[in-house]
Amino acid sequence: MDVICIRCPRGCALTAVLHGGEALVSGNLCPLGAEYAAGELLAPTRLLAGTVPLDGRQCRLPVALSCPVALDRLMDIMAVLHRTRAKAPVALGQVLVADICQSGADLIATRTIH
Amino acid sequence: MNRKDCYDLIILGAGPAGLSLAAAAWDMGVTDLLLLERGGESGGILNQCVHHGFGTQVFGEELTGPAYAERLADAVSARGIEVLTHTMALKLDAGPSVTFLSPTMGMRTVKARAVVLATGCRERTREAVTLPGTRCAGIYCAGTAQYLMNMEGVLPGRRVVILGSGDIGLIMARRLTLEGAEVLAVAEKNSFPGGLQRNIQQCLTDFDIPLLLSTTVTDIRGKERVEAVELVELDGEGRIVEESRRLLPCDTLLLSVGLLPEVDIAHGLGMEHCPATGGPLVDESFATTLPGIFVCGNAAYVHNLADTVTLEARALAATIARYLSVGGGEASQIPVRCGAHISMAVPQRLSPGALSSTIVFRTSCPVEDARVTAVDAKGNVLGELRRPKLWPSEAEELKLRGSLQGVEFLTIAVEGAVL
Repeated sequence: MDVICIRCPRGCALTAVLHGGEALVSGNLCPLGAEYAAGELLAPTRLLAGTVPLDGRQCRLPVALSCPVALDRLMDIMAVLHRTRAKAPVALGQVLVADICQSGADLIATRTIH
Repeated sequence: MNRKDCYDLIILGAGPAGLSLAAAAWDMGVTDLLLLERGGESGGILNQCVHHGFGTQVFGEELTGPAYAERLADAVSARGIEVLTHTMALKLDAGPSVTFLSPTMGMRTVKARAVVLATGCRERTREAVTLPGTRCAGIYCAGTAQYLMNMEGVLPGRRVVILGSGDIGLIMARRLTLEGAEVLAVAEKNSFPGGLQRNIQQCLTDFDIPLLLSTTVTDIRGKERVEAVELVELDGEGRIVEESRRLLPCDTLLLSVGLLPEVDIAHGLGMEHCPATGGPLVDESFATTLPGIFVCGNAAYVHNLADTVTLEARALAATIARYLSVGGGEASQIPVRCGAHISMAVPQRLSPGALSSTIVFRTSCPVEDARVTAVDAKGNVLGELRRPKLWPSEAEELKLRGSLQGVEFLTIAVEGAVL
């Protein structure tokens, strides 16, 4: 498969092929590219971010996953995110939902609200 | 905040550029500074950029926009620098001086030994691309849709077409899809995308959103709300292919058709502008053509990454510290010209004493097996860069070597397989 690396802004054009159960990657300028293309071929993962309402406040709280999850889990996680509310004060990095959808990632706040 | 009549440095805007500059300038000993922010909090556009992709170069980790802004704002407050929020700079005068309106200080005119415009950029609008059709509801710039979605929690539409493949449009294609909208297509008039390759992958390809290249919108239909847009394909000369006309029913049209530096406050002062960037003409110090007035971040030229803005702001802090202690250097008289397939180059002028300068450039079309050169009037190559592929959307840096003494002008050009 051909993919554009999203690990850094350089955006290398990568090719990954399956060879004896392992991914052979070419076109990468750094090890991150090899890791990314192998992941894309075997089990693609993504980060996710959004905002949730803050009780009693007009502003919303930006939130994100603490680590990448399987690409095909994003919509399930969004469904939980839509039901999530937060309450000030909130600290940057505070866990709002632990192990969201058993994905292994936490839903965390990505800013501080005093 | 004491009410002084003169400061060493006044920074207009506390987004990524202004915050990064304020902290770095303080560390260089420039502590007599004023940081003005029109919004209710610092951070600028980062506050609505809730997605990841910030901080890899500056902090060595991948952060969201708000988290990146918080790091920068923390660095500013840790130094005891106050951000004057809700404060609008109304007028800039040569000298320089700034007139501003603040809830705590009222209307004030203060002098500064140096002023930095860190005012960011604005989106090009429907009017800027002369898009015909009715003036119904449901037509937004992509950044406005981003504000509605991320800051207000309002889904701007359910069946969405995006015109232009700039990064904000791509980011919003993914964001709206995740929020339950259907993004029907991203139409791009050029034969290549306007946004970063990585955003094409993670925002469109991941969600099977069609990217229609060489395609544009020629009409918007709808009475109260958008009901459909007319799409057409363009041939190699940019002419409409008549038989390709088709109506695509939708309720929302987002425009992601480019950004322009926002330096309106300098209007009428005689500051020279660069048609290629839309921003002020600058030298290697990001000094404008007006004495004591500098520019930083997207107000200078539109950047791909906030990280680059922070790094440039830190370099500018050193320049300003030097300017405040020893004054400006020699005049910057060496023009940097855009040669073959180069759409913009920054800085637009270099001073003869500039050593190891970096030219930021973009190409006007994709080029494979590219060799980019900076050549002087006599044909000497003062800088060279090779890349397997260059995309117009992705700014690159060309380092110059050697002395610029006696150089009349520099031309940046690219050769290779032009696509």
